[in-house]
Amino acid sequence: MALLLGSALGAGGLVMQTVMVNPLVEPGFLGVSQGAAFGAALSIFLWGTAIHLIQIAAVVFALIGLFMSYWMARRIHFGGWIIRLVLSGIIVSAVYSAGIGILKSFADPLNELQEITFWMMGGLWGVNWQDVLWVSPVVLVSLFLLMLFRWRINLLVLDDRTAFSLGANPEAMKILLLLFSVIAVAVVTAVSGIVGWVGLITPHIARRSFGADVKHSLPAAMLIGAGGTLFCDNIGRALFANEIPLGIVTSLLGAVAFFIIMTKTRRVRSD
Amino acid sequence: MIEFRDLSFRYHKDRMILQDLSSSVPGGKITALLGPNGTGKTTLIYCALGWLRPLRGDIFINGKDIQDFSRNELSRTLALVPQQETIPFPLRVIDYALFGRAPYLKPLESPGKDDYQIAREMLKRLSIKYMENWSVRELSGGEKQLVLIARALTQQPECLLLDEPTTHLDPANRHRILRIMKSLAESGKTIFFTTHSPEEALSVAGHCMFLNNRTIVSQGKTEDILTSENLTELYGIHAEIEDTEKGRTLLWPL
Repeated sequence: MALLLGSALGAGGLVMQTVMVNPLVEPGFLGVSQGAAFGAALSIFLWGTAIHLIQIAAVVFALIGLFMSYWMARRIHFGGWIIRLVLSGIIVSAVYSAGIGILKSFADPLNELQEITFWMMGGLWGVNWQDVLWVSPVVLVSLFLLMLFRWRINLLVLDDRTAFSLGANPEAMKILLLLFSVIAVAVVTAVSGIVGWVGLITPHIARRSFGADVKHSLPAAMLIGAGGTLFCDNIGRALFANEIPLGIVTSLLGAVAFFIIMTKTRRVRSD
Repeated sequence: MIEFRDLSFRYHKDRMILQDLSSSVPGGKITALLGPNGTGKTTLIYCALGWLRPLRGDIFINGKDIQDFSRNELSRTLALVPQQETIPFPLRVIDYALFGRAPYLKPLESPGKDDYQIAREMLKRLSIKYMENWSVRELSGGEKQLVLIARALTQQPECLLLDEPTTHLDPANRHRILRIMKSLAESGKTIFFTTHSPEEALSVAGHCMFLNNRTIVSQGKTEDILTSENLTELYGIHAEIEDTEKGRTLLWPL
């Protein structure tokens, strides 16, 4: 499961950064993560700890988050398409976090609140093989489709007009690719809770080590994400007697790794 | 090569940018498009590219209506060198040049050996093969312009559309780009470029167009239409053209 989670987050992050031409984006943008969290919290609040209900609610609300962001982006009259998407993603996320806050304040502090808080930290302790069976086809198909497109994704870093002059249809491609990556991310998030930083940092490591050509960096991001997540999960489980939630380990290690990468001097024209 | 027929274009309802514009860009030559800021030079370029749809009128390329072209077919005929291009990721120059192969590849295909060879050939043609593995983010303005042109050439187009290709360059780099445009035209390519410098038009363009007040106000052989009167009228400041023994020179107030 850690492998699926990591590769989906890594690939999703890389595709989103490329599509939005912004190296600071992560898959949680566009209201996806907060949507999933809200769905899960709502389900815990209403129906208790039934795992499958939580997952379904998380996916549904993540997708609602995506569509809301998309719908709003069409209506905002300010800036380019990407700025509008990011803005509406922020709006949707804010609404969802407010919703989560409300649910938390109404939740029964003895079990529901604990459950919600724990879910938000992200972790894989509650995952069984049935979940893997349920999640893997969706993730694998989405990732496979992304892989097929991997060279053409490159064209989206260009200005829309230049991409158009190369025969591409940048708008349609962006929507399609965002949809694939969001689905993959939403499905894994539904099972694992919010696991931060993997989606932001793996694409950077992949680009640094394998070049910025998406043809190479996409598979690299998947592998690095998968390996990194597995590593963090093992640390979380093995280091202390009681398991540290995965989301916390990835945040901690991710933040440190991010700092190291960003401060390391870049090589200049060494080839 | 490119023909505009009664073209009208507007971005917003209340302001027409181009109105009933008719003009043609001759094949195998360099044509310069001059006009004050904001008159729609870039708009005209993007209409020719198919990115902007005119309100009325038609555009023909080699006698064929632009709407009858498939997207890839058009991209193999016309290539764009935009005014500026920001790429936030450290792509290698060769990878960037390879983007020019996109109109020749199927949607799920990646570039193969032949494509690499074509891209390398174009880098060589512009004498920038040594930059092959450099990151596009570390290029200077002059180097970057060459790389953009290499990408456009990798499309193997009949015609290059260049939007103010020399605006941000120092005199030496400007000279280099103009030489390249000249040699491309000599090899049979059609070059259509916008500029704010009549001197450039004088030195490389055989053909010239003036865009002002929503339409082409004059066009023809550069030596015929690049006159003191025309330039003074176009820009609204007094310009003088003198024929000296070193060729034509332009004098205007700074």
